[in-house]
Amino acid sequence: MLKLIFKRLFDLIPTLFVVATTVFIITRLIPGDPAAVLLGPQASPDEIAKMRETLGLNQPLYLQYVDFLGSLLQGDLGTSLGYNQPVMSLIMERFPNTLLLSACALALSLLIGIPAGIISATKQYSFWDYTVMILSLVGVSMPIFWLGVMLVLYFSVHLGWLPATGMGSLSEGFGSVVTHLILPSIALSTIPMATFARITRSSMLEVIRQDYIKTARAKGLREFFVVWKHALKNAMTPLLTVMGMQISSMLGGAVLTETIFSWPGMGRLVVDAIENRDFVVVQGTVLFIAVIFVLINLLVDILYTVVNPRVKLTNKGEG
Amino acid sequence: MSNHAQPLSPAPATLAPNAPKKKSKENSVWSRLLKNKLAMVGMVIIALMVIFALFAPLIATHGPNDMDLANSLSEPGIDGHLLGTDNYGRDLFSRIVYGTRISLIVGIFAIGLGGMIGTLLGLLAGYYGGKWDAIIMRLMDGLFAFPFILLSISLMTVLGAGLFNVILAIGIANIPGFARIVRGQVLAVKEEEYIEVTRSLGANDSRIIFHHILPNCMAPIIVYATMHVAGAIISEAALSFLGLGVQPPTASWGSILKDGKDFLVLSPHMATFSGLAILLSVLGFNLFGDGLRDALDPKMKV
Repeated sequence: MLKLIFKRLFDLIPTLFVVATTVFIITRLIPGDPAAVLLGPQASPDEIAKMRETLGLNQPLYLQYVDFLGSLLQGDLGTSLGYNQPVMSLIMERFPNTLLLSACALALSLLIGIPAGIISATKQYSFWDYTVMILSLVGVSMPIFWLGVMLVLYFSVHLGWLPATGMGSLSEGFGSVVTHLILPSIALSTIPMATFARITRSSMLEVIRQDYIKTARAKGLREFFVVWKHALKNAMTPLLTVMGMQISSMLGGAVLTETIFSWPGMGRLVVDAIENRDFVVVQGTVLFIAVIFVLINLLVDILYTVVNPRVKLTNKGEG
Repeated sequence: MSNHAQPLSPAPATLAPNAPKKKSKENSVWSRLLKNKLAMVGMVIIALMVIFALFAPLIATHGPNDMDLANSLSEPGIDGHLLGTDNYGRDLFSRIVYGTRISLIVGIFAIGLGGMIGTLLGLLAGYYGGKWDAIIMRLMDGLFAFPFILLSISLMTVLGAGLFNVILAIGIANIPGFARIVRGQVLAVKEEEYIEVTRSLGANDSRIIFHHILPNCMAPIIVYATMHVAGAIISEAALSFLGLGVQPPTASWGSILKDGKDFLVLSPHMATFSGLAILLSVLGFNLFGDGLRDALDPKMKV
């Protein structure tokens, strides 16, 4: 097992290399002279030339690339001139906020999505089944940035129950953070919740028809145990694959959700940086998110083998 | 919903399948699709979108950019404005009708672009294997490592706003998905006996790839493409919502929503209706894609 994990970590190297190179190419292709953009329209040519030197833009491209990779290996993502702060520390200030939001959204989507899927499967073709299926069909099609706006409209503007933007702070009490967390979490959880409900339903339906479930029932086990212990355990495998994909796309969803709710996370950092043309921050943040994304996928692959030992950790690229 | 007949076999059993048999297969896919009520709902939504896009000038009650500042932000139903007006007094219904064009154009062309390049790369990687496979798929893994929307956003910053660039950015972000699906499919089809026979009859690589392997990969490609048109429509709306997509005054659902967000308290109808349009169209493509998958092969993993 450990050997396989190391092998998969080793396999990640080419992927991460491609990721780093792509980010380098994208940021170098951005039109306009970053030095001139940073200094603003009043800058004199001398100042721009000086800034180009500070930024290392005078070097040939391949040297810039080698420098870029070298600093990356040391965990150095450069320094933002806009914030006058190393990019890594900017990210570290905001990453916990994105993590908090994503974790709440994930918990919400699992706590509602899986039971909804189970109820749907155990009561197939009932009123509840149709309700869950229709809601989940709408859910997977939801533009979450619109849902976010609508949640603000009803719960903040009309009802005035919940704050529309920001994160609150612990100094105002735990409740302040919780109330700020509710709307963005709901928005971000919608698509994964609907997806979990659909997947749980279809894989439970498949499992429930199998012989060992019939045997468990025949043995006189209570329905609760049959469903929650025996069936769910075996229905978990497809759920895990989808969970990995959903967690990853949550990182993307966070960009939009954080923008709408002014949540001070990584997504907001990227969008602000794009608006302010702070390319060092864009480069660093995009790279950081991509690495997290790759690591989550690896973690899911490993979990997959733990849950389902028959699957070997070798079928790379198929997951 | 589960009244599907047996799934299609992945490849015809004979080298030259006779025509009537093929036709009956197509018929059974159609009849299964027609029986699927949800898929039909999806098809109706898509058909309506196409009609709106094609006949926008006939359906719209006003020009999409005709301003009437005296009547800005008016509520739905007033002065012949079915869905009200926006902050410039432009008719919201007409703008949403015209916005259908942008959504459909981006959905179709971005997926067409990503689909073509991705399919080609998947065919090459799967058929030749070895070094080709390693290089192409590592590149795809690298692109896949970016959350979809983040990759599109980054590409838009490089390319600059505009309809063509939106198509390009969303198209590029879609390449790895298609490459993976097609590669997997090629690996399965390539081992079939009839491919061996074709080869021993002297067919060259390009003939085998494009005449024998590709047609047998089409079912999952079509299903994947249909479902990802929905994704492309959402991405376009998201990019325009962030101000990176189609530029004003062009009517796009995402940009209407963006403006609507600024006037949420005064005129919630702007944000509400533009978002509903996005939701409905995405739902339409998802429903149709789901139905198509079930009709072609319920076990298909797309």
